[in-house]
Amino acid sequence: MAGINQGVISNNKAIEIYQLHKWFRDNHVLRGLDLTIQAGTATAIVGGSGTGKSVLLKHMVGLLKPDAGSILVFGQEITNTSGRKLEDIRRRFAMVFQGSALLNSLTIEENVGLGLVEQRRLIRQQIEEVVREKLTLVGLRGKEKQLPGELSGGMKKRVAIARALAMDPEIILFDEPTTGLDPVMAEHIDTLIADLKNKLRKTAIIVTHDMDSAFRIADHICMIYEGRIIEEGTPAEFRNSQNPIVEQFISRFKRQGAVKAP
Amino acid sequence: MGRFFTALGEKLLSFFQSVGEMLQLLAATILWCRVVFKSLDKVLPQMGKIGADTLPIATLTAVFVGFVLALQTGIALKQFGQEENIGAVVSLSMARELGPVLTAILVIGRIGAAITAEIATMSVSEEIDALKTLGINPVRFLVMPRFLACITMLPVLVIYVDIIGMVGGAAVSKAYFGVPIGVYADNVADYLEFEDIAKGLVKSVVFGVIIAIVSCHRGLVTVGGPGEVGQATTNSVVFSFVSVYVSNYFVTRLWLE
Ligand SMILES: Nc1ncnc2c1ncn2[C@@H]1O[C@H](COP(=O)(O)OP(=O)(O)O)[C@@H](O)[C@H]1O
Ligand SMILES: [Mg+2]
Repeated sequence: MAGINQGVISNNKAIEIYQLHKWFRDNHVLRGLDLTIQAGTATAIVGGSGTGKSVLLKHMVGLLKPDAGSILVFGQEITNTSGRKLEDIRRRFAMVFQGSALLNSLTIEENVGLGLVEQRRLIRQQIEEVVREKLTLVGLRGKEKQLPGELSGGMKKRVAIARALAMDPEIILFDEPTTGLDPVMAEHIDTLIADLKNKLRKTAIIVTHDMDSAFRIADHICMIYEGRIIEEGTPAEFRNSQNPIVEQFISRFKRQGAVKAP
Repeated sequence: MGRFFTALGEKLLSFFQSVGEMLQLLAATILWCRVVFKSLDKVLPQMGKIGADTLPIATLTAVFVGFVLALQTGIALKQFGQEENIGAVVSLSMARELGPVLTAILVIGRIGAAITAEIATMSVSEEIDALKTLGINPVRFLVMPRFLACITMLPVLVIYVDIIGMVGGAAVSKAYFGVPIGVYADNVADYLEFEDIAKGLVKSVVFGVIIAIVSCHRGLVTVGGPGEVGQATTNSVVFSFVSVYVSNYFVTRLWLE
């Protein structure tokens, strides 16, 4: 399936996950999941809701600890690290949370600049500049002084994207970045993510429901089902998958898309 | 019956686990206090908030507790013609016990509950996770400022409550028992020692530690949806109350030995 392609793109592995298991009480969410993410690629993770996509992303940044299995980030095991070492690894990541997770007591610009302000590496003017630049990128210039509560869900999502980009990380995790955005904005965000990879050589991992967007931006698509990756490959390979669950997922998406179209 | 003991056992286990986690949180918080001067922009607003939010209710409470203390002791002392000693009873009760404990109760209800609600909301909306991925330690960012604000503001509030309580007591002594203010004040000065006040202040610092750590911990461990926030807040308030009462007894006993 994906074997040939992986070698062609790069041999540099950003993330390797082996036999990952996660229980929440008696809910066995991840059931021996294996996944490798090549550096400098865009990987889409698709799957039904509640299948553990967000849980998987949180394991990659060490927000959740697995019950079994191992996770390597640039070759370094993170499942048993904590404290300073884990913070060093996290610095290579940024994450856009499914629910945006903006700090409600801070303004939009404070949210976007938060990580940089707390790092204390840049002076104020530099941070303001980064904040302006990232907000422009997501089409939210002029909203600097507003509070998250004053924005729509889609706008919050874009602020969260700006906040992640401001940290200039090597790997960016997007948890449903375009859910709740109108089609034009969704396409714009897709382009943004594609540019991160193409122009800045970042590694992007995108959890999405939107197969169109997955086909558009991903080099590699993985489908998660019952706690494992049941299919992965290039968009072309994925589209032609013989796996009935994958076929069903794609066709169901097409049907829904057809209904939604005017 | 068996199920009852299983449930009880689970409750006890989770209680001890919580206490263990709180001690760890306390240690981490104390370590982060080393960067206090870089974090004044977070500490000072918290201190201001505690002051502003508790001062009105602290005033009311202290005045009326002072009133009732003077009234009750006045009635008792009057039987022996000892009304001039009301000042001693009121001031000692306020400084040693009522000042610190009442203030702690006020702060738990007004500030501790708010801290838990705020941090629990942040937990369930993944804001704490977001902080971590931005390289921000939640203990440094959220807990340490609230901790420092609590342990510095509680003693200040206690001094204020002590004074207002004594003033309230003086008013009732004068109004109901005809004790001149000067006599009341002299009596206070004769009996109330610096040590009494200092012990009350030490207690209040202990209570400040408890309130800050319990409230923050309860917020940080909240999982689930927004519906969990209310439950977390209730738990936090109850946990703080009990801890304050228990520690009050042990701190008091410590001084007797
Ligand atoms: N912190 C948690 N505690 C308990 N259960 C959780 C937690 N996070 C996720 N789950 C459960 O794990 C499963 C997968 O959740 P999630 O990864 O959010 O799904 P999705 O694929 O839609 O992102 C769900 O059944 C969810 O209820
Ligand atoms: Mg999800």
